[in-house]
Amino acid sequence: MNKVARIDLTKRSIRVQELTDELVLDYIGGRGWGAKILWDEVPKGVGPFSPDNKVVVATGPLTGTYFTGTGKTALSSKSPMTGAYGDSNVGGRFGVELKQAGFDALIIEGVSDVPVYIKVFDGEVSIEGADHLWGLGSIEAEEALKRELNDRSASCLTIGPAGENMVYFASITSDFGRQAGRTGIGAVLGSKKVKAIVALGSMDIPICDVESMIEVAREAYEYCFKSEGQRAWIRQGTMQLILWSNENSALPTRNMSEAIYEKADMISGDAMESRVKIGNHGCFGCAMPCGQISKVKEGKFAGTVVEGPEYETAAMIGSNCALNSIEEVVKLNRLCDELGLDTISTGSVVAFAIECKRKGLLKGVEADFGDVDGIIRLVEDIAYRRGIGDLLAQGTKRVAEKLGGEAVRIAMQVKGLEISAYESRAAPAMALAYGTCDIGAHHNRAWAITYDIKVGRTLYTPDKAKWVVYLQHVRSLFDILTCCRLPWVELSLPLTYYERLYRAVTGIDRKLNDLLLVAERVYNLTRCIWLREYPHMDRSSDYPPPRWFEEGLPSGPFKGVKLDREGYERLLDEYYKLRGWDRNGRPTKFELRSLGLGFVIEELERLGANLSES
Amino acid sequence: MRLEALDEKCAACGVCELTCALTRFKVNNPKKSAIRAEMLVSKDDVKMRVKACRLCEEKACVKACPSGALRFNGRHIEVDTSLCKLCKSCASACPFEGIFFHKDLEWPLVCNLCGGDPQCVKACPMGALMVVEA
Repeated sequence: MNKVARIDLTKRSIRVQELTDELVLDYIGGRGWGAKILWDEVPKGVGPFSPDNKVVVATGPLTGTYFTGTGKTALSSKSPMTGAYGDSNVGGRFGVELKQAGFDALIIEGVSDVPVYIKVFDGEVSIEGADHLWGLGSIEAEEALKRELNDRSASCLTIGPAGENMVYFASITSDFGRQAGRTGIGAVLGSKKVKAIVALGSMDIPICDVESMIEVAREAYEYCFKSEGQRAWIRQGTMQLILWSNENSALPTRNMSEAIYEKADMISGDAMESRVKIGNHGCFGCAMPCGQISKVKEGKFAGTVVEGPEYETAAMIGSNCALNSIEEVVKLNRLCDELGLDTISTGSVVAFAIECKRKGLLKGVEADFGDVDGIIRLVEDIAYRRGIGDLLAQGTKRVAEKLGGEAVRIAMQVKGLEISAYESRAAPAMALAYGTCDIGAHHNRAWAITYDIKVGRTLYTPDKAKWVVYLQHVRSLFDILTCCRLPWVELSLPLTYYERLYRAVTGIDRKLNDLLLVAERVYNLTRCIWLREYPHMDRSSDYPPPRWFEEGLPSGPFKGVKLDREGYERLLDEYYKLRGWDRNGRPTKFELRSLGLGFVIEELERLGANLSES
Repeated sequence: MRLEALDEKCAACGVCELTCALTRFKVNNPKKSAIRAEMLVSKDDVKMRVKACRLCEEKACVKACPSGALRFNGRHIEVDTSLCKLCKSCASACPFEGIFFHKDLEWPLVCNLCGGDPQCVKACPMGALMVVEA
């Protein structure tokens, strides 16, 4: 254990290295390692598809341990969507197999000239030919590998045709239905000609104090089993949120021009449960297996089976593209999974393309809102980069920059990454969360909309900024410890459990505040990766798109409400102040030094990022 | 008593596997368990399957063992580790694919019902496992 395999695809060499104390103590694991390794090893100017870009596949101390939600793996890389720091995590079982195969992390670098897959079997890492897998869908490739290796317990990360064709928002699939969806790391693997990574291990995962771990785990499982929420999450998973979002004017509809979808009932959790659900799939160790297995039972998509849909998919490809039924959502979901496309960005890109077409800004788009067949064709064109799909494959920001004007106003993205499924014109804290998320507009760093709903939908009070900062640390901590946040978010499992579990597993006695300090360190370091790439970046990069400031919501209880620019400025000022950043969102030297990040200062200053002292 | 599983309820989360390994060996290793939860994927279907000893009527593993290493002790299948030659005939014969091997162990892993109080049944979040009369 404590081993990292460095896989150089250019030289076709494998080097096994020990994890440094610095990584273990100061960065803990998961995306903490991703951020530090990318800072150290992927300098400014390296293009996302350059051989010099790297993909860090990292477990964390909690991956594979006895606790709810420990099936996570974090992937980090320079993102094709943003050109800066990107990460995404995936559930299932891959990280557990990787650890049992003897490795805590993989660093994938260089480029192969032929398609390959990386095989990690019980202490051995090898690079194998993948000519026979290239061109397959991501699930097809996974099944082919499992047959070839003759072991269903092998766990895979695979890319589909979209990753091979370097669609900027290509995803990575694992265990049939789990995805590292965001920031386009599937495209980075595609650029390196890595079709798959497969892990299979039988080693014990070392635990410092097994009895304590069992005690903490039993308490936590019991806590979850007693919770009403556990049953609801097993029944519908994240799909419960469709109707909730709709009732709260937060359901992205028709490229986020609306926030209430008239057909929400047709794509809701209830629709899923009554019409298509056939079972559940849990990530490793889960006390509340929320993954849904759905199968279309009738109509032209009959027989289509998918893990999901998840809320984000049903919203972004469903209401945001005005699909008409849960069956259509299942079809598009499976299509995206097989092609290896992030359903969030795909839904946003398709909806954006349709709105641009309707406004006469973009030619060559045949699809329309609600036109499922047209949308299927457009999604395929994106994955295979045919016709207008070739341009759309670069994401909304690049298309909008090319078209200019109105297209920029309605490209629903921040920093190049499409906004996920919470319409936030009447949710200033959520808007701030999207604005300041360190991979571009993603909800997982700070799901602050519940706070907006609790305290007031049009308030711009400083507590909202404070709440966003708090969430960005707590939620990042889960990606650093590398386990699922949902037991905490949805069942209110107390955070002290994680402090106790970390101690039992590692033998290191650290208080929650100390663990949260690591999350703050990582958040500042990822900001510095952005600054190194874009030294003149300022507060304007932390803004949601103009549409949210300029257009009032068209209907519902918040009709006419839009984001208030002055209010948002105040929130941003407060946010920077709380973080110890200057008014352009740059960490001060004092803040960096006090977080143990003094090592970034010289390089950032040399590149022209003006850092103030304090 | 014996173990019964409702495959249609199983979510293949693996909680049973790790619970089993920790109960028997105090090791964090789901591969050292006498139960597995598996996801089977076909073109138009996904199914879960629990693999574990159900104490079948015929005790197929006992009959299949050429070394006499396995016997039914009235409660569960018992393995005489000194007699096992790792031929794996028992696993091939098991109608539930419920016998497992691990490279650290020189004998097969078969459910022993945790001495009458199966921990996996209590740990399953889906209620997919239960104890029934043998």
